[in-house]
Amino acid sequence: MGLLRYALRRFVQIIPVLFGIVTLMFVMMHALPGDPVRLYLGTEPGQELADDLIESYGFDRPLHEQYFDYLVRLGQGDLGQSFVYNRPVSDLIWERMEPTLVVMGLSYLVALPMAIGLGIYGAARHNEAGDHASRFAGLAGISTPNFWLALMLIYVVTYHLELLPASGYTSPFIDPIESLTLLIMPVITLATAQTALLMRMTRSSMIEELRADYIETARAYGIPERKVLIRHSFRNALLPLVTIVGLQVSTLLGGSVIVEEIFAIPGLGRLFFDSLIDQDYSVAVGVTLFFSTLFLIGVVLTDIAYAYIDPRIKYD
Amino acid sequence: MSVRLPRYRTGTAVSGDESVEFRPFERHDGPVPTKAVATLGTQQSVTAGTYDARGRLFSPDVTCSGYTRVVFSMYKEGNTSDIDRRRFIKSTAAIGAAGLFAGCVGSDPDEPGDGSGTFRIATSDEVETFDPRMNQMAWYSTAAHYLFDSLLMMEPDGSGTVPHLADGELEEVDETTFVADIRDDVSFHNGDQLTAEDVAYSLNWVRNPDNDSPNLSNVEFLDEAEATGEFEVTLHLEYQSALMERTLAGMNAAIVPMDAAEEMGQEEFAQNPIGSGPFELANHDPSATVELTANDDYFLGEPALDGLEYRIIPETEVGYVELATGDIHQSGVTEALLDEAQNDDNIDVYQLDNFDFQGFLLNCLDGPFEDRRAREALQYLVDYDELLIGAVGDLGSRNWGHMPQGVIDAWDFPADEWEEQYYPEQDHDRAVELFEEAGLGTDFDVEITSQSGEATTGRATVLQNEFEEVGINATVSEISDGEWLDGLDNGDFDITTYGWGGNDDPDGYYYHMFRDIENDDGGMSDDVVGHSSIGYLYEGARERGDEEALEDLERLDEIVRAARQTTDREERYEYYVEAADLLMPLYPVLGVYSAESATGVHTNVQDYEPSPFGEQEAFNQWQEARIDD
Repeated sequence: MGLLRYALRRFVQIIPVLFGIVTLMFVMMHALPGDPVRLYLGTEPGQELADDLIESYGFDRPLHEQYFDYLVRLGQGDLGQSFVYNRPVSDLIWERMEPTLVVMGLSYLVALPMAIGLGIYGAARHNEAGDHASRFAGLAGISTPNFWLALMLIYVVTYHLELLPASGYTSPFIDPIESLTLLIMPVITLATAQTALLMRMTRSSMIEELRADYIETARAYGIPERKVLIRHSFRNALLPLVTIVGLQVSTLLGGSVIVEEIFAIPGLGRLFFDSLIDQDYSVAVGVTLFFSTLFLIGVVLTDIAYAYIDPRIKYD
Repeated sequence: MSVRLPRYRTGTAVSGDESVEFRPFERHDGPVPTKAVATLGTQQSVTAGTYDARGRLFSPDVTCSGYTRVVFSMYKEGNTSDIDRRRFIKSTAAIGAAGLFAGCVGSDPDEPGDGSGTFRIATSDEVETFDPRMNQMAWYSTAAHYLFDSLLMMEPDGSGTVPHLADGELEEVDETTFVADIRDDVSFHNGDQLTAEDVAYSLNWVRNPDNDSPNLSNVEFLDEAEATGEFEVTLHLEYQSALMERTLAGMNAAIVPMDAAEEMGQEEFAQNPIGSGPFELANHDPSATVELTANDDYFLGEPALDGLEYRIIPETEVGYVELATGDIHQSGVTEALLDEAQNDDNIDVYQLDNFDFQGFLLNCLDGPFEDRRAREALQYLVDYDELLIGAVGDLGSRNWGHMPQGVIDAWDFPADEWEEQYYPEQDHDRAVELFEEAGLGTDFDVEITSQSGEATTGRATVLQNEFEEVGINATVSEISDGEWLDGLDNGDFDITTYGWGGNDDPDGYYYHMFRDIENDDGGMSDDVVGHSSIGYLYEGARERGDEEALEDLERLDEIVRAARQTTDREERYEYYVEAADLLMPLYPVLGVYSAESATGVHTNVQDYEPSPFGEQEAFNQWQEARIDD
């Protein structure tokens, strides 16, 4: 099977998964205790107004009717209307997509080279001081909650050193320099755990590969150690790393909720968080759908990458 | 002669060869000094007043600490300087107030506000709609005053209203008819002139149930606003309302341009608002910033500031860091950061009354507290001050008669008598005695449900400890807002945390919390048990057939309704005192405190003083903020 057909098949397989996620999210949101109209209007709503809102958003209809109606509209590309913002959910997602994707993308850009570099270094210096240091750093990185790290960065870097602003977002397409200064701390926060995890993964895969017979053979042939590490060992150690990189999309999306809240970044994470608090059903389901789609695309791209990295893997 | 600072100190007034005496709460009709200086030594605290050009005290009880000198600065009306009347009034008030509040020397009055810059303010919530007719968010209710104007405006100390878009006081034709002349020099941001039609349209729009405005209930006293001339509006009221002027000064009665609003439709108007205020919307980056630029053509003149920028920073602590580093100019300050902020030379901290009621709601219909004696026992069980500290520390004060201290003071309600009668000292023995009289003893369980949040869980935990000290098993369940509202609707609680944001009028508490909702016209439908803010007190009395209580409650409902339909303050006072005396012996709620919010302002902001009434604080007829970097 060719790459294209394989990719198509994998993307088609996403659809039922997304359907399941939408269904689950829809049911879970409606199962939450409380009434969004009451939440919106407070403890003393005028009944007439409450009735009008309930009717206009269809909350008075049986859940299955609301669900099928939602699916029909979803099939037409309509994610519904936000109860809180009184605006189409797709508009809200579109407006807030960029900050989330930029922070996530930069986190990968920072985490991957650092993790790979430190991982290879640790493996090459196995059980030496440098390896111990990188392992300790990795352990610390994984163990550090990102909300704590975010607050500590603000406390030290902004409050005491006054080096960087603590909050806000400017698009890198509008003002790259200001954007960079605003993104440094959020990206460090999000990338730290990623770096640590990926570094440990790279290191252990590399150590395993470096013990393989073919590496001994390569060394016996007199191939330079650098070449042994990068060309032979690392390429084979990449496979588990790629798997983790793909799966880490979900971790980054989860982390974005916290990072966006603390650093006041107007992204999807905050939108999602607020929608849960307000029980804004359409927004919560819409953002979940968007996040899930991103994650599943990441998984599919990972699968495709397997075969590229390891020619023994076939698209069938 | 001298400037007399009420109650405490006498300063010295210098006015060329003249000087004049000022007294609190008295209108001064004599000459206004060109400059009045009061040097007050190094006392640690003083209460003083600031005065407008007419000699009226508008900030009667200002307390500042640790100052070394206070300067009152006043311009003589009609003097030869290039300062107009508006700037004169603003400078007078602002400089005096800023000097007093900040505990430092005021600005030199000879250099009127020529500063500029953008005033950056942190706020934790994003704007859902810019349309004030549909807005429910507290912070935007304040910010909307910069974009929109209203017929009247609250005075900075909340003591009354002054004409704003109205060209003079409202003329009372009869009890339910008022005529307002409208200024003819006001333009909207799109250049259209503001006319009586716009005023009538705006008020009627909110009043029209078809528009589903969540603010409709606040203007229900209005039957119709009618444009009876190009610049004259007649207000026909459903009933005489004590709250009319306050409402007309608020953003529930913001004036929008009729033609533009109709053409754009509500949804578009909510994103691209057009008002007539001193600032106009320049940019809105959803959930990040709201940028306003100065309206050069504002009818009170061009603001000194270039603009205002609201930065949406969800975490208050992060906003505070931005304030401390000077990146923004105003931010909230949490209780934990209060000391640090007060010790920061670059930050002035203001504690503002939130005008709310915070406490616990007791279920009077079902469960251990359906018996009045069990509810009374709680008054002896708790240490109110401990509850207050457990909830908000220094950011709150006790409330009395279920109203905040600010309302008690403004109305001179008999809080001392209430305290003596209904807020006893902690006495666990007496509490147990009452629990036993109620047939409960101490062998029963209590579930305290609490919304999440430090203030709610804090006070719930203190209450739990008090129960356990007398051997009653109490648990605290932290629940979501949705669950909490469900609990209020179905009565599924023993004790639950409760908060109500009223205002500076007793009606904000008594009508909304303690009326019988069953007597509302078109109120709650039968399937919404709903209005449990009084803890099902009415329902409980009805179910038990408690005739004595029912008689009292009937009267209570009658007078809280009557009190909002008269403008006679003395009559209203009597109503509320009677209402409190009827209500408090029934103990439907445990009123703990009224919250205050602390806000920090960077010292490079001049001539600016936040107010709990928050109307165009950065630019109005009393003060004009500028940034002095």
